[in-house]
Amino acid sequence: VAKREDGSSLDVQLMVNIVENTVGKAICMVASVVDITERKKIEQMKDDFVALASHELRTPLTSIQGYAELILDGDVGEISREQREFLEIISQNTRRLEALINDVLDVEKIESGRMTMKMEKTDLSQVVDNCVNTFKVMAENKGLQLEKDVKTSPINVLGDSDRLSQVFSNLLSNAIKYTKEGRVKISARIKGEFALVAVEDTGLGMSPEDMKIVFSRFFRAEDSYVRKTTGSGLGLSIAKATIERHNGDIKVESKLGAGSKFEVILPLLKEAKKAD
Amino acid sequence: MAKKIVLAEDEPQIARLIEFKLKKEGYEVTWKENGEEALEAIKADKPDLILLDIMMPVMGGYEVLRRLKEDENLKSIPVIMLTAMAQEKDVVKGIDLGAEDYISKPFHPAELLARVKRILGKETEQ
Repeated sequence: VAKREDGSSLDVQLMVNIVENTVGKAICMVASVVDITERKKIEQMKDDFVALASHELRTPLTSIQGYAELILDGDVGEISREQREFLEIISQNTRRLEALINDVLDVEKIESGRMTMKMEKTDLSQVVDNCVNTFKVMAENKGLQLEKDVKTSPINVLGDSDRLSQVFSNLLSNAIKYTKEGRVKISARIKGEFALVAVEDTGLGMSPEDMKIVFSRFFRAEDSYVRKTTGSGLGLSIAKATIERHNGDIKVESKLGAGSKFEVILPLLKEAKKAD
Repeated sequence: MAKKIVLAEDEPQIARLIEFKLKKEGYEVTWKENGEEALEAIKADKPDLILLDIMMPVMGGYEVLRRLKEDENLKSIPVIMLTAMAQEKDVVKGIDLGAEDYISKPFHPAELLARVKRILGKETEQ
């Protein structure tokens, strides 16, 4: 915040750059002060727009889903088997649209840096445990084995446990979704100063071309099996942005037809030594 | 005697949906289209439960909630917030202001009913 000559204040951004000569020696420093009042106003407008868009999209969706379920619940009388089947299709698709709206808003928030993260001591072995419990049924229903390999506990990092749980859930859900038979394995371990969480599957795998763009927004593989499943193609881009906000990294290893392995790397929490 | 519920919701179709589901369970529902009218109805009816939408014309849900909690006669009536914004900060704000529960739109009518029952069931036991 700076002050104008008349004493009123305005928001400014201060930037300091070091100017180097051709051999890389610093010769002077340039400091610039930029008025960001206008930029702040635009950011506020964008915030308001997102809130409004969210509200306007959810309102009609509430009616569609609500009335479809009212009929499905039998609240307005008996329905035939086919009526039930078709209403369930409506209901499923509203849920899909709801997930898409949530994902789009998440991407917007995270990329603009407005996603608030509650950074606190988080035990990854605990987070992984919870995720495995959530996805056990989904894996069993598909006849897949869901394995957990966590030998160390706790694995403490500084992070937002809900957001990290969202990332691992996303990786597990993808792995289960794109694996026809075999197993899905999640492991967590410590390596040096880092925590590693990996999700491996025996699924479809990816081509080297797809691997390059797998984290981009709306990415979905050109595979007939993938096309039959539903997804927004936003989960991995949210995961990547989330992990980067935690000063970590996410990598993929895969081979077409031979499964995929996604690995998340996060810096371990450095326990502050107690001051005596 | 049937339990009384005041519903503050500016979308007529969503209001009808909620009203239908609750009336079918035997609840008495008074529907108001904005916060100000809802507040009047709450003062007059002294309902057992209030369902309160956040984004409404004339007076929004947060303002209604704030006024309810300032009123000695009304502050013990449980409130369920309805939100189409579904952002954590909105939920936290509602709970901080003293709301009992929240439901984000879109919701499952059966879930809304279950939450209403949970709160009103608890009331009768006391």
